[in-house]
Formats: sequence, C-alpha cells, structure tokens
Amino acid sequence: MLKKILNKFLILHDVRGVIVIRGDGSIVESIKSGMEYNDAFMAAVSTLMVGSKATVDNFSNAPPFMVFMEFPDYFLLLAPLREEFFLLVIAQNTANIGQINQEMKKNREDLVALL
Amino acid sequence: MKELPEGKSLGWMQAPASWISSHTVRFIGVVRVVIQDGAGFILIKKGKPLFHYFKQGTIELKGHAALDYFNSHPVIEFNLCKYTPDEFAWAMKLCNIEDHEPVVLQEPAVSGPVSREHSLPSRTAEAPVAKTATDTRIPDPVVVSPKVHPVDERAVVSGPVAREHNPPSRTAEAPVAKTATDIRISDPVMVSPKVQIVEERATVSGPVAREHIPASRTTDAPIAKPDRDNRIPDQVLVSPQVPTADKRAVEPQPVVGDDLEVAIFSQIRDQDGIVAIAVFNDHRTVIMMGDEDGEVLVKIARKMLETAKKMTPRLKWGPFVHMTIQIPSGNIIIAPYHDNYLCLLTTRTINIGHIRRILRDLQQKSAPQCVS
Repeated sequence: MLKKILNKFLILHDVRGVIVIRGDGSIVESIKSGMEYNDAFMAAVSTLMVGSKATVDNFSNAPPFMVFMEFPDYFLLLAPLREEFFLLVIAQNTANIGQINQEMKKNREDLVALL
Repeated sequence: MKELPEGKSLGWMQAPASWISSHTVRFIGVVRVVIQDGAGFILIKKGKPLFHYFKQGTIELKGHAALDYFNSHPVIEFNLCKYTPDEFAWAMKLCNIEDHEPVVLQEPAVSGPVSREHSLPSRTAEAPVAKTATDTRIPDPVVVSPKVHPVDERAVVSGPVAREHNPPSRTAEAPVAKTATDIRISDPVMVSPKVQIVEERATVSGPVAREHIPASRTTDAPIAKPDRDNRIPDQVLVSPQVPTADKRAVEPQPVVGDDLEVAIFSQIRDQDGIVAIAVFNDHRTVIMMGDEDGEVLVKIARKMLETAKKMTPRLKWGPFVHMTIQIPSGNIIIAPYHDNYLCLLTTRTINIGHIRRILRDLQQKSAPQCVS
C-alpha cells in the first residue's frame, strides 16, 4: 500500500526515486526508477537525514523542517511526514518541484496513516 | 564631532581596517566603526579614506591616530553607509574637507550643483556641492579648531571639527594616551602592508584585541570577529609603517570581498524576504550583512555544510549546488561561492524556485570576478 502511494510520486516527470525514511536514517520503504540505491547512496541519504536533524536541533524547539539539496543534475527533497518519518524524493533537476510539493500535500495524510 | 549624515546602510561587517579602503573602490560614503564602547567613522570617496575619526569616552582620535587605532585591531566591526552626492558633500563639510572633484552619481533627484550657503563666518571658501532643492537642513554651528592636523589626509583645510563632549560613564575604558595632535607620522615608507613591524613610534594605547595577526597571515583577508576582550589593555605599539590608503589600493586584491560583491549582496539583501547574508568558510566569517546574530547563523550554516560535504562524495553526482533547510520561521540556504560558501537567511515568503533564481543571478553577476 505504501509503495502504491510512493508510486504516485515516481510517475511524476523526472522523479527517479522515493524513500520513506526515519529520523535516525533507517529506510522504511523505497522505490526507484532509472537509478541504483547502492550502499554509498543509502549512506548519503542517512547522512542527509541525520545531519539535517542535527542542524535543526540548533534551534530552540527543534521545529519541523524540510530540506532541499541540489546537485548539477539531481536534487533531493526531504519533507516531514510524521514526527520521526520523512519522505525523500530524488529527482532530476528538470523535474517540477511545485508538482512534487503538490503531490506531497495530496498524499501526506494517506502516507501518515500507513506509518 | 558633529553627527554625519546617516546614509544608506549596506550592512554590518567584520574585517581588518585595511580591508575597507582596498574594497571600496566605487564606494562613496561613510564607514561607521564600532570598537568595544567606542565608535568612529572613516569617510571614503572611491576607495580613498578622507577622514578617520574615533571616539571613546572623552578621548577623540582623528586622522592617522584614529587610523592607527583601527589598524591595531585584527578585525573591526563596521557598517558601510552609502552617501548621495549631497550627503557626501555635507559630510565633507562637517569634517572640514575640501574636495575639488564633485561627486557625480546617477541620481536624477539631484537637480544640479548649487552653492550651499553657510551661516558660519569662520568657514573659508567652500567647494560647490550638489544639493537638492528640498534639503532644508540647517547645519548646527560648529567650532573649527585652529590647529592644523600634522598628518594631512587629503586636503584637510583645517583641523577637524572639535566639540566638547564628556559623558561621565565612559571614562574607564577609554583609549588614554595620545590624541591626534600628538602623533607625527614620518613620510610613508614603501613596505608591504602584510608585514606588521612594531616600532617605538606613534604609540597608541587603548583597548585592543589580544589576538594578534601572525606574520604569515595577510591583513587583507577579512577574518572572523574574535570575541571581544574587555580586559584592561596593555600599551600597544602601532607601527608608523601602516600603509597609506593610496598604497593599499595598488596591492593585489583578494577576489572575495570586492566592493562589487558588497554591492551585489546589498542588492540581494534589499529584496523582500532576505533577512541576512553571510560569506563564510571553514575557519571564519568573511562577510556578514543583516541584523541577525551572524555567529549563530554561520554556526548553523557550517553544520549544513558538514552534512553536504559528507554526502557529496558518496553520491557521485558532482559538487553540491545548494542546500536549503526550511523551518516554519524561514529558510537557511548555503551554496558554494568562489572559494567560500554563501549563507542566506530568508523568510518563508521565499520559495525554492526564488532561492534558485537568486543563487543563479548571484553566480552570473559575480562571474567576472572568478576570472580575476
């Protein structure tokens, strides 16, 4: 069921991967298209999650946060779902961020219900 | 000293005093300096410091004495305030400086140069200054010191304006030794500004940061502001070989921190939603603009950078272009910028698309500097 919702993101133009991740960096569910989730990649994803959380902990009440990280050809979008759960979208730079955000809003409740 | 026109603030920064004149080639205005409990300014016209002034408690330093005092600190905190031709002319007048090159800026509001009437009979010939018709400010009467300043800082026609002012609360930490008139600086000696030679001349005592610049470090590079040292200072010897502004201007300039960058950053900061801008690296804050606590901002930015640096080699997607963390109160963005990193603090009104556009514009605007 979770994969089915994640697939709604994957079918968006130039989205290459979608991952549900915990705050400690562990992966709950993931799907991909046209890219490899090797160990190095997973380690990078965990680093992003843990590092971002550590950064936000510098603020007084550790507010909910969203991370956008851009590379020459790809970007990563990490958005909060529920307390310790986040959604990570991996896409090419040509993907439509607005569309991804909209899909997040539409499916957030369903995703949270499944966690 | 009479209050100078306020000008348009371009933001607060921390850098060595030598950085100011070498990075303000197109800047016309005043640089307001704050050192511990004292404050002062440097009046600048296109990279040339015309007048230095510093006051702490009852002690006033003017001209080279003030410059030496600024230079005795590895880093000073200052605010660049841009002047219109009118404001600049007014500031020149307040500092008793005659300038034969009227400032011409592309400001349609200025109708044309008109002679400014001044009520003081003691004032000598005044250069024509551009003045808007709407400006009806009347200058306060000033007392012109008859003492000619021993160190001529570009066409100072008489001693700087002196005004008695004795706030009782500021006597404890005031710089105590010499006033401007005590210091005579020999003819400029052509030495590199990067070498700090201490000699037994031009002694200035006063509150001075204890962190001395090591000989190997260039004084041109802006460095992070050290913690303020409120201990009672020892006497500090200031080298008379501190280079003049004109000499510094011909020194090779570092790429980052150019006045063009300051102008670009100011433009960005003026955009709606931008709260603060910082340029930093692993060791120091190079530029900081904005009212936010710069050290906290840069600390967070460094944390983000640490994450980005750990991730980048693992992903093999090339160098990271930018990273944004959005929290309910705003966005923090970091991006590589020349050899340093840029950090922007924005409100939530700015979205990712807007951030990407700002960064792209910035890269384009500052691209010619990469070549130099």
